[in-house]
Amino acid sequence: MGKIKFEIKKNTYYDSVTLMLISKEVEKTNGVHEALVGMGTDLNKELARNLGIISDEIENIGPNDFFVAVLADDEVKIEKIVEKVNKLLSQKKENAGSDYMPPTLNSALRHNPESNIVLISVAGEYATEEARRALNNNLHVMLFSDNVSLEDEKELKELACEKGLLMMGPDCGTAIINNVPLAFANVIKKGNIGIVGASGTGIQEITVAIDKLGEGVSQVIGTGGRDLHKEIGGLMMLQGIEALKGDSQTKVIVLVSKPPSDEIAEKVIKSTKDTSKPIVINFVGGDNAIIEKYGAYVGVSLEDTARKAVALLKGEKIDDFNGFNKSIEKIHKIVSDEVGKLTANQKYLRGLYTGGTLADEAMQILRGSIGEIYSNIPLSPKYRLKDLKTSREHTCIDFGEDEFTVGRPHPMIDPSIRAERLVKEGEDEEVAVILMDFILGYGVHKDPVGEMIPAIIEAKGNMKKKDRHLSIIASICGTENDPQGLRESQKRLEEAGVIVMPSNAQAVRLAGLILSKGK
Amino acid sequence: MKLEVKNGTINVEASKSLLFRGFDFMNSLMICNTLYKKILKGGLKGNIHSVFNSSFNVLDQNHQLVSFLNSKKPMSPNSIKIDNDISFLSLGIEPKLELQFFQSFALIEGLNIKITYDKVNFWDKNPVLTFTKDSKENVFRKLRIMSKLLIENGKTEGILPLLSTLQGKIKGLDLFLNSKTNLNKREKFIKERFLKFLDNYIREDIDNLSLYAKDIVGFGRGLTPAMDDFLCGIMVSRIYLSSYLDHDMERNYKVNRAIVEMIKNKTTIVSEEMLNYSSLGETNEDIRRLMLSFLGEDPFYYFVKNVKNVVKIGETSGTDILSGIYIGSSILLKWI
Repeated sequence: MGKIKFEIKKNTYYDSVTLMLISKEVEKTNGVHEALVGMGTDLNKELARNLGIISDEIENIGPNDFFVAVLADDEVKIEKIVEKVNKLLSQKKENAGSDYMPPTLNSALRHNPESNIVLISVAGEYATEEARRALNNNLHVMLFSDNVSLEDEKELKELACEKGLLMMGPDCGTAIINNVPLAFANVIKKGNIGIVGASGTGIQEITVAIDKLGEGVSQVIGTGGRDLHKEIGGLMMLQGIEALKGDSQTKVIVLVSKPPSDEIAEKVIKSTKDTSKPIVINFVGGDNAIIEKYGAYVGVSLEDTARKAVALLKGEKIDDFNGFNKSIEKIHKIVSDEVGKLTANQKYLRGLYTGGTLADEAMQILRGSIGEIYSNIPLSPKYRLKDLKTSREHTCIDFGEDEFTVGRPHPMIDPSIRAERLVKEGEDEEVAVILMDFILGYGVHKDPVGEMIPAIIEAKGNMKKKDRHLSIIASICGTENDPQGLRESQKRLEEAGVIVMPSNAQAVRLAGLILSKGK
Repeated sequence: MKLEVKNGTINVEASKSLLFRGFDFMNSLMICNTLYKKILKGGLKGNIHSVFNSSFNVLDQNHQLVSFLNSKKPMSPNSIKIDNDISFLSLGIEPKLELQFFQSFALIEGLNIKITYDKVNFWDKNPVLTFTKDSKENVFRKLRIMSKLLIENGKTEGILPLLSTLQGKIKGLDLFLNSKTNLNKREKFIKERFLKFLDNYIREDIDNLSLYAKDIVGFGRGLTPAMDDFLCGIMVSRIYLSSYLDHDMERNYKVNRAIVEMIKNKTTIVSEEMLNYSSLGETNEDIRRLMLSFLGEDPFYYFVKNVKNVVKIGETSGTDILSGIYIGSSILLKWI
């Protein structure tokens, strides 16, 4: 008939789901006639007796001991059943760990001891301590958190430099290390252009443009927006440049940042002198003379920066790119069609951006053609928007700034605040053109386009009720391999009546042409 | 400088695996006020007793269990609930590790995991008996809904098949149980003792109830054996129904006390504690909500939602508890 075989685990507890799984697996084992899995309570032992699968060992266990008892054919190996049970138990543990997000640095290291880079996103008050702990564990750090003091940032970066580590951030929104996108980042081909940047969406726009041109990136190192401030002295930009100079995969180096002080700019550019790798620099809206003084290439827009890096990589001729991908005839046709639909008093631009650097670039490009623009990040303090809820004349808003993100997620994650504003702008009869960016990739909303389309339709519909046309021009910072898909996103926007341009710079130029002609 | 990231492929998983919330402590959301008072007295400490995905238990120096729950678990007596849904099983928390309670935090020695409770909401484990009573007509309607949901959603690997042995005794059962239910060997083994217990329970034979309860407690696999879950349901429903029916509360507490009087060492520590709490009407928040929506003036949809939440507890535990509540309520409402 068979033999009684058993396994006992003293003071061991399994949850009921696991126990059920074990019972079923044991019971369906070939050659097993009877099986009992459970805790050694008096009643369960009595049941085992009743089922004829008791042994002295089982008789002696207590209610807090786990046991498996089986009546099985001779050829059934108890070891195999025990092994099966153990395998099931460890499978359960592994499964539990598959979506495991360790709550502490120590547990993260235990979970994956070979990791050498840490992404930290905690409330600012705890960020310094966590970053310091990570650096002291010889880990590179990407610090997504903001609200870290300049003093703390400097201390952390000095510690990183001493240890030869990267301290990306605080407030570092994007990086791509060894082809792994971190935080807000796009799926970019692997290639030979290395980037160090203090500007999140600036970096993303450049990497996306590189990808669209058929090339890829080696490493993308974010530094955090304040790295080139005088107080920090560009410590991580310098550290990043050193890393890229020594990286054999990197053939061309790109630096991007908002304008640093002359002193810091010079320090940074000087550090590139001892490499033969070509350098392209875009200090968005900054002084280009100092870049040219040291023989680096100037990127006149984010897109142009990418184009120059790719041209240098391919050994092609270097020219500034200030135009459009489409032929000039096609652009003129779009402009005249749009202008023809606008009424005489529709004359203003409303830029609604989720990317700060993209908003900044828009204002830099348009300043010369349509005049001054009010903003929460104005080019001149005189044009600071006093009431953020109400636009005036030409206005360009960065919804990613602190005043819009207190107590709510960044608009790249939660687009609702921008959607509401779009509908509101569509009620202003003097508005002619809306400019928007759409950031795809990891970390952002899973469907930023879909979230905005109802607002686009509503804003355009409201304008139409007043016999007016609302021109909406957008650019998509994304690639075909991003989770949201570039082509599909573009198609849906175009179906909603949006003019989609291949880059922010081209979208802005088109808006400028429409507004200028409209005048 | 060499930049290395393990398995550097572009996909969400790779990106996710590099993300973690890097704090060395967990914040608590809620704490049982009785436990908090014990902590404030000072010196409370214990060892990890058992660890699961969504909870872990600590056996303190007084041989009482303190449970730590993640945010997915309902609050329960002598527990601390933390504010995120991490898996404790994968945290490195293991049985026997020491845990010490301080005034504002608990510390798991060796792991350097700190669980703070300085800014926490308090939870009272006592039964809530001050609800606005629903009409008897509605309560009976809800009882019928409960029986239907039990059959539609309940798991049959626990106590449920045994309920077929009560046909002819409990009115609603005839409506939904197949009279030809075949009991397996285990169910046949316990059937007579189960029926004896219930006969005594219906007659409220306090003198013999302890003996009959002792004969069935600890039956079933798992940390809280199926029969124990059923008994918890029976006892909790007695406390709430007594209040609803304006019965003598002391008498009913006495009945429950009799059930748990002889359970010592007859079942697991976890189950033993749960039975003792249940005898006082103390139970987890999901079961409490169910009882309040069953007997109080809550809308039917809310009651249904609460029934479904209870059924989801554990593998068969929810079904077993609900079975106890259903049978216990039917008996007290004289639906027998």
